[in-house]
Amino acid sequence: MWLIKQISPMGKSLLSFAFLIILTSLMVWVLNPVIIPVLVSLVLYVCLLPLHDWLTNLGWRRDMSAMGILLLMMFVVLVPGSLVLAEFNEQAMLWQSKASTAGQSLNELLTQVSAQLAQWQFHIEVDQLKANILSAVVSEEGTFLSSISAVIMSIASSLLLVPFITFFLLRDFESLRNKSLNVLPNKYFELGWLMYFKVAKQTQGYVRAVLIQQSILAAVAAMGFWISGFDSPVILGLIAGILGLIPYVGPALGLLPPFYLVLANHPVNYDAMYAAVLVIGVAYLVDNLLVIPLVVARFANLHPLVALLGIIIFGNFLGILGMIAAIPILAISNIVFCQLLLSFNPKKFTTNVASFH
Amino acid sequence: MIRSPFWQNLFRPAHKQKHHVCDLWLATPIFSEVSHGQCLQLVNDMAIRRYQDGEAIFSLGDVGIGTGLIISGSVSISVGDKVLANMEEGDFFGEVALVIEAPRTATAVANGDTQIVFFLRPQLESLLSRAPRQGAKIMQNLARVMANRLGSTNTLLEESHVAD
Repeated sequence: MWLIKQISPMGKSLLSFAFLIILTSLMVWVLNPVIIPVLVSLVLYVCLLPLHDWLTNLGWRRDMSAMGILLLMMFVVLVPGSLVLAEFNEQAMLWQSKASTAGQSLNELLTQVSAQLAQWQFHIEVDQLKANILSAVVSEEGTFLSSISAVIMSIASSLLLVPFITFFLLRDFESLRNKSLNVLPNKYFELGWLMYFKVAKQTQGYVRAVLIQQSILAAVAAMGFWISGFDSPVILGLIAGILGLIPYVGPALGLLPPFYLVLANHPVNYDAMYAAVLVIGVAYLVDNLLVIPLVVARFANLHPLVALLGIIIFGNFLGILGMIAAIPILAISNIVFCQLLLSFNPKKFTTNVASFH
Repeated sequence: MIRSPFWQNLFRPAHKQKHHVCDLWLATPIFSEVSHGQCLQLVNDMAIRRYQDGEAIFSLGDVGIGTGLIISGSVSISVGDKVLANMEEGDFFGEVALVIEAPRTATAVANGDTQIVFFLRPQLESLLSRAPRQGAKIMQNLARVMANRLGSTNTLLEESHVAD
């Protein structure tokens, strides 16, 4: 007890923060086999919560409202979603089979670029560069297409589990939350609730804003690819939307699938390549000029360097999912740490109004 | 089939204590003119805490996030050694934390085994967005309660000035 009193507010905050990180990591480790269905269900829960609240406010019982939403979700979201995912799987296999044609086209393209660069005294190893690009994009245990494919197919394979987890979240999340927070000792009960509400508010706002943003981005990109005459414009738009979840590097990654499709058809249609750049450029212009300032910016107030480093570090450990989750995880950590610091050092409160009477 | 634990868990009835807590809230000026159904919905999400004799419910300078209503037992409110008030079953305290984020400026200690239900600020904010009319009613009631208490404090201050 004497030792605890000797620790400074910053030390106490750091210790509590470290304890929370260990607890969260342990939960993620335990949930690892079902992490994707749980995450997708949580995202759906956040999106469907306003509808659930509206129905319960109209007088529906919580279980009936959750059941109604589950049925609605089955028909409106999951049936079209399954069709799109089946189409994606088919396209991914088709793209994989065109790897040799793409390699040949890439070889020709790189040879032309190399010849052009040689005139300016720049020399590149065409074979090495081609091998690197192809292995990064389409190799069997490869990174890029197989990574996106793995994420999307994991979501697809968990489609059966997602509605049930979402149903129970809608029906029971608040009661589970209350029971979990009731475990807190009396001394930290109010602090625990305060942190939960701040984190929940920030996260729910962020998830809803990002989903709106990515849906707009995917729709604009899909429309652009359709107008430009690409095959599977919906799939390409969907991939651009998913990759758009990764800040900073998303636009560049979003260009890879359409480029690959252009290269997979011999001879290479360079106009289609320029069209792909134009489509992705316009989609991200709309995103950056309209959607982000209006929808997303107020939910993640992070320094760009912190965000970039976070994306690289989380991406290194958790792949594409880590890159997508980096910003919300950093934003949540920021709130939790600041709140802990404030609670262990109450003199920092800006207001000084009596809360009794 | 309906008696099986699975179905009872799936469609379980509301706990009896919730109706008692709801009646206690409806008797306070904060919940004046709020419907029983709406109150019951709010009570479903409220946290009920138990305190032992002499245990602090909150201390001076702690984070305040809501108001507490005494379900059973009693609570004394003090600043330093000076006891400001003793509260019994059905009384509520700390309601300013329902409106703003501010540190507690007094200490609340349980006298005997005490049970308290907390109505938290985010629950009120959520009510304001879900059911604005009912939320506004509670805000209006809160304003009345605080205005009355401000009036009483001013009277006490005036009396102490006159006595000096």
